[in-house]
Amino acid sequence: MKVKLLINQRPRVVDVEPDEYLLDTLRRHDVLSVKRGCDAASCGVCTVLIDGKPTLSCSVLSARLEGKAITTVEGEREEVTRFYTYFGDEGADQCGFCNPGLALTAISMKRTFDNPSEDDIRRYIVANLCRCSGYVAQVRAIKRYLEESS
Amino acid sequence: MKIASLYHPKDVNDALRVSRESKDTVVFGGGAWLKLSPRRVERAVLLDTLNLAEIRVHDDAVVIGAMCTLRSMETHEAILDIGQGILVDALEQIMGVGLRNIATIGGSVMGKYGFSDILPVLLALEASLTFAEAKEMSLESFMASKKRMNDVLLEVSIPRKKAIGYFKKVATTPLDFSLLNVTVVKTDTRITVVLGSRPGGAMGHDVTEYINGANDIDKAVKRAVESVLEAIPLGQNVRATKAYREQLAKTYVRRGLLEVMRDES
Ligand SMILES: Cc1cc2nc3c(=O)[nH]c(=O)nc-3n(C[C@H](O)[C@H](O)[C@H](O)COP(=O)(O)OP(=O)(O)OC[C@H]3O[C@@H](n4cnc5c(N)ncnc54)[C@H](O)[C@@H]3O)c2cc1C
Ligand code: FES
Ligand code: FES
Repeated sequence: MKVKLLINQRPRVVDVEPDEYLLDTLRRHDVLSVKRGCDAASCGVCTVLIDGKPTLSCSVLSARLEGKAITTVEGEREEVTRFYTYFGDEGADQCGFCNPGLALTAISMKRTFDNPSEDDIRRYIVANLCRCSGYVAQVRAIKRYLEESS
Repeated sequence: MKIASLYHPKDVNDALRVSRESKDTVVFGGGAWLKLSPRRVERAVLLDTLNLAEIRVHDDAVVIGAMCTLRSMETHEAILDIGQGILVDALEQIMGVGLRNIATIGGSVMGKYGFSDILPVLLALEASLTFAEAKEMSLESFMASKKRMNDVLLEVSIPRKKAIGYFKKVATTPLDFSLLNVTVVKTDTRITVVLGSRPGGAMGHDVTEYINGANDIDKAVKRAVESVLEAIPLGQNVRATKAYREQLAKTYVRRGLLEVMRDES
């Protein structure tokens, strides 16, 4: 079946199976920043923004997204570059597998919260798992990004 | 879950009719839980276009459409108001925003999950349900029934009463299921304790008679805690033993009762 999506600001008509998930649709259309980790709604690496809201692309049927705006890091280049400056500065980056999902979650946080506390940050990113870091540097980087780039 | 076709019903009666046509048809909420199922179905009935995602605020109740996501609930002012934010406390402890932007209240109720952090709070708040065919039913009757409800859930309604609430989720990590969760809700007329993840489905117990009018609060709370442990069976599964759950219940029911009483003074 055909579904009209706005992928990173570009209108696309994609052909999908009834049980195809957004993660597969995106990767099939060369949006490769979106990663597959658990494929079971438990790790957050597949996070994208759907109409601005962080959502697990592994668990949403593509066919339900008619007319929705899907944003990945490819569609947020400027903001992502800003975000990664803080990540680099704070040494929050290791293998990088979790970064796209985490970056989109942090960007959505910037657009949703006024002055989030460290607790707010930890709660918001709790399900963006990172197997390399201990989250300390990541939280520090997100805090600076939210404070200094707003 | 493997799905052969999707169906967009034209109204709730159509959804009900189609969902009953065959055992190979399944009603979809957000689909986050169903995705994990190894089943193959012929047809998934999607309720997306039936205007079931709204939250309506009436004088006497907050009415939540079955397709409302957990995240839309936790960010809604009327939900924040209920029991001094007890429902939001519980919702915020379910995985992350990425899942809560998908999972719906309809799927959370109809799944009747033993591990649920939402059902115990809704039970303590005396929520009721509206179905396409069965119409009105208290959540308590729904939870008590062993029968599978072959109906389409339309709404969850929470009475707007002055209430003070306490919710505690005990879990090994922030993303894990509860080993036990404890809800205490005090209204003008009633104090209810609900235990969830026992590991079976949530069960409630009214402790008003032990607390109201008591002179010695410590003694009254002790008797109330004992009555909860007598009335609500706790058990064992891979997450925790029965003895551990009992210890947790003793501690957190006591804390919850003291907290809802302190909040009042
Ligand atoms: C990885 C993961 C971790 C989780 N952790 C927790 C946790 O810690 N605590 C917690 O409380 N919950 C947890 N949940 C459960 C979650 O909060 C939701 O309750 C769950 O995903 C079901 O919601 P859904 O919208 O995805 O339902 P679906 O998967 O769409 O449906 C679930 C069931 O409900 C039926 N259904 C859905 N809507 C209706 C309707 N309107 N009428 C009739 N039947 C309907 C479906 O047929 C299905 O049987 C977790 C879920 C996942 C996937
Ligand atoms: S791949 Fe989607 S949450 Fe892990
Ligand atoms: S940096 Fe390796 S998973 Fe996060």
